[in-house]
Amino acid sequence: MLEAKNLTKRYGKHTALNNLNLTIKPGEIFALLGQNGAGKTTTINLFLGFIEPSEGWASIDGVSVVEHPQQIKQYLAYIPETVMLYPNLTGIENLEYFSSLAGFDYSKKELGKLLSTAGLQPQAFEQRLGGYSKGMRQKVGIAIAVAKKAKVLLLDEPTSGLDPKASNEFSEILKTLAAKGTAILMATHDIFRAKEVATRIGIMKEGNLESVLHACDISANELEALYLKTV
Amino acid sequence: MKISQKILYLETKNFLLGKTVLIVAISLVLFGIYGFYHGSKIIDRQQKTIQSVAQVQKNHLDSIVAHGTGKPAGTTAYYPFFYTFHPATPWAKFSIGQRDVNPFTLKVKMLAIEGQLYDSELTNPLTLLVGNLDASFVFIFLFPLLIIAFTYNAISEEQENGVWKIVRTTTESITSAIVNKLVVRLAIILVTSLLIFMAGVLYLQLPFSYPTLQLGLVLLIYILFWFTISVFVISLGKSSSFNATTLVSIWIFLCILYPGIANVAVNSRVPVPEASETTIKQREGYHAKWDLPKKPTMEKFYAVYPQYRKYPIPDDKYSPGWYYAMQFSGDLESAHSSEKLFEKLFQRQKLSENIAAFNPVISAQQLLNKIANTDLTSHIRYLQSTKAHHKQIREYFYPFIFEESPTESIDWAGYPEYQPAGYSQDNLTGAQITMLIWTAVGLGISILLFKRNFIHIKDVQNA
Repeated sequence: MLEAKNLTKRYGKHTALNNLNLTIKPGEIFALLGQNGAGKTTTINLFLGFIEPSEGWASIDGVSVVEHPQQIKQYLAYIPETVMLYPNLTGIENLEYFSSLAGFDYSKKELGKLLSTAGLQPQAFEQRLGGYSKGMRQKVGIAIAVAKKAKVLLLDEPTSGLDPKASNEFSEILKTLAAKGTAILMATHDIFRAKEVATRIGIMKEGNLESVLHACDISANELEALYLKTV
Repeated sequence: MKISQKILYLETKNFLLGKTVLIVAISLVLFGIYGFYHGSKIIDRQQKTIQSVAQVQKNHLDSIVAHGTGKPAGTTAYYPFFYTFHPATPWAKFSIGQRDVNPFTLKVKMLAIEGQLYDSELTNPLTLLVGNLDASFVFIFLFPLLIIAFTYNAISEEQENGVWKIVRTTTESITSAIVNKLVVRLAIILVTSLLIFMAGVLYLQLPFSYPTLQLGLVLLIYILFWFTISVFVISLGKSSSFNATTLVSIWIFLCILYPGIANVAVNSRVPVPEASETTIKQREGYHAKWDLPKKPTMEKFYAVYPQYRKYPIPDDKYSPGWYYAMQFSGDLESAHSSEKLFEKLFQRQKLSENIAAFNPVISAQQLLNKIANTDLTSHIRYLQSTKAHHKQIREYFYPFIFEESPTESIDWAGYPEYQPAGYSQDNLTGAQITMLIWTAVGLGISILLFKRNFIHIKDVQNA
C-alpha cells in the first residue's frame, strides 16, 4: 500500500508538490495525469526516496520512506519512461542481475518464465539488450518488478514512445500485476491509456491534486474534457 | 553488505564487453611488450659491452707493453687504461633507471682519479627528456591511465544513462552495488597487471627471488594507490566528464608537474658544483706542481706512502716517481671537494626520497630503481668501487715505478682484479608503508564521500 499524508515538496519559493493526501491500496492502479511540471514525477521521486519532503510523509506498506529509505526498496519496483539496463548483457542476464541484486536467486527456467510473463518473446531472451526496442526493455523492467515480488510499482510515463501494440500489451501486464495485489502508481500524459488501465485517476495542476476520479465512473471523452478544463 | 558471485560474474561480463576495455587492455599489453623488449635491448647491449671488457683490457695492456719494451715502467704506466664496470642486475631490464644516463663502464689511468670519474657519454640525449619506455615506465606512467580508463565512469555512466535509478530502487544495499562494481574493476586491473608482470618476469628472465617479489609488491601497492585515487574521484558523485578530466589532471600533476618541480627543488636546494670544482682543483693542483719545487709535493706523497721515501727523487729534473706523486697530490688537494660531492649526491638522494613521500609516483619509481640497482645510490657505489680499484692499481705499480723497473720485467696482468660494487638490497619498507598510508587515507575519505554522495543521497542526480 502507498500512502501520502500532507506530502509537500518545495524548491525555494517554488512548490513542486502541495499537500498531497493519497492512499493506493493493493490491487489498485492509480494514474496521475497532468502537464509537465504538475508534480507527477516529484510525487514518484518522493515515494522512491530520491528526494526528501519539505512537509508531510510518504509510506510504502506502512514503512516511512524518509525514516527507512533502504528498507522500502524491498517493497517497490520502479519503471521510468525509458528503462535503461545493461546493454552488454542479454535480457535474461539483466533479469538475473537485478533479481540477484534484490536478493532473489532464480534458475534460468524461472527467469525465462518471468520474462515470458512480462510478454517478452523467448527468442529475445538471449539477445543483448543493446538490440532491444524500448517496448522490449519495458518488458524486462516489468519482469524485474515481478521477480522481486514488489508490492508497489511506481511508473513514470511508462508507455511514452511505445507503439500502440506494445502500449496495449504493457497495460495488460499492469492489470495482471494489479490483479495479483500490486499497488501501482503511474504518472502519465496518456489520458486514454489512463482511462483504460487505471482504477482511479488523479489530475494534477501546479503541484496540487485537483481531482480524483474512479475510472469506471467516467468515459474517455469526459475525462479528456475534465483534464483540459483542469489544466 | 553481501556480495553475490552471480552479480560479480554478470558485472564482469558487462564490463568486459564494454567498448573501451579491450582497446585499452590491448594497447597496454603492446606497450608492455615493447617495454620489455626495450629494457632487454638496452641492458643486453650494456652487458655485452661489459663482457667484452676483459678481452679489451688484455689486448690493450698487451699492446701497451709491446710498445713499452725497453722503457722504464714509469713511462709505460702512463698509457694504459684500466677498465671498471657496473654490471646490470637482472632487474635492470625491468627498470633501466639512470643506467642510460650514468656510465656503466669507466676506463681510468694511473693518473689523478677525480677528473676521470665524471667523464660520461650520452648515448641518446632524447631519452633524458622523455625517459625510457621500459617496463617500469609502462607500470608507473601508463598503468594509471588504464586504471582511469577502467574506473572513471564506473557509476557516473549509469547515472547518466538511467541504469543507476533502476539499480538504486532494486537493492536495499546500494553499498553492495557500489562495492560490486569497484571490486570487479579492481580484480580486472589486478589480473591485467599480474599477467603483464608475469609476462615481463618470463620475458626478461627475472629470477624468482626476493627482489622480483619486491618488484611485484611495489607495483601492487602502486596500483592500489591509483585505484584509490579513482575511487576518491568517483566518490565525489560528479559526471563522467568531470571524473575523466579530474583524474587526467591528477595524473599530469603527479606524473609530470610534481616530478618537474621536485627536480628544480632538488637542484636548487642541493646544488652540486663540486663535480666540476673537484676536477678543476685536481687539474690545478697537478699543473701548478710542474713549476714548484719537488720536495713539498713529495712530502705530501710520503705522508701517505712513507715506504717510498727511500727512493731518490732528483729536484732538478723529471722523474717518474715524482710525476705519479704529483698526480696523487692533485687528488689529495681535491679530496675535500670530492668528499663533499659524494655527500651532496647522498643528500640529493635523501631529499628526493623525502619529496617522494608526498608523491607515490616518484616513490614507486625510486623503489623500482632501488630494487634494480639502477638509482643514483647504486651509481655512487660504482664510482666508489672505481676509486678503490684505482688505488689498488696505483699501489700495485708504485714499487715498479719508483724502482724504475723495465717494462718487460713487470707482470702487467698481476694487479688486483676489479671488484664490482655488487647487488645492494636496500630496505624499502618505509617508502612502501608511506604509499600504503596515502592509499588508506584516500580510501577512508572516499568511504565518507560515498556515504554522503551515494548512500544517504537526497538529490535526483545521484539517486
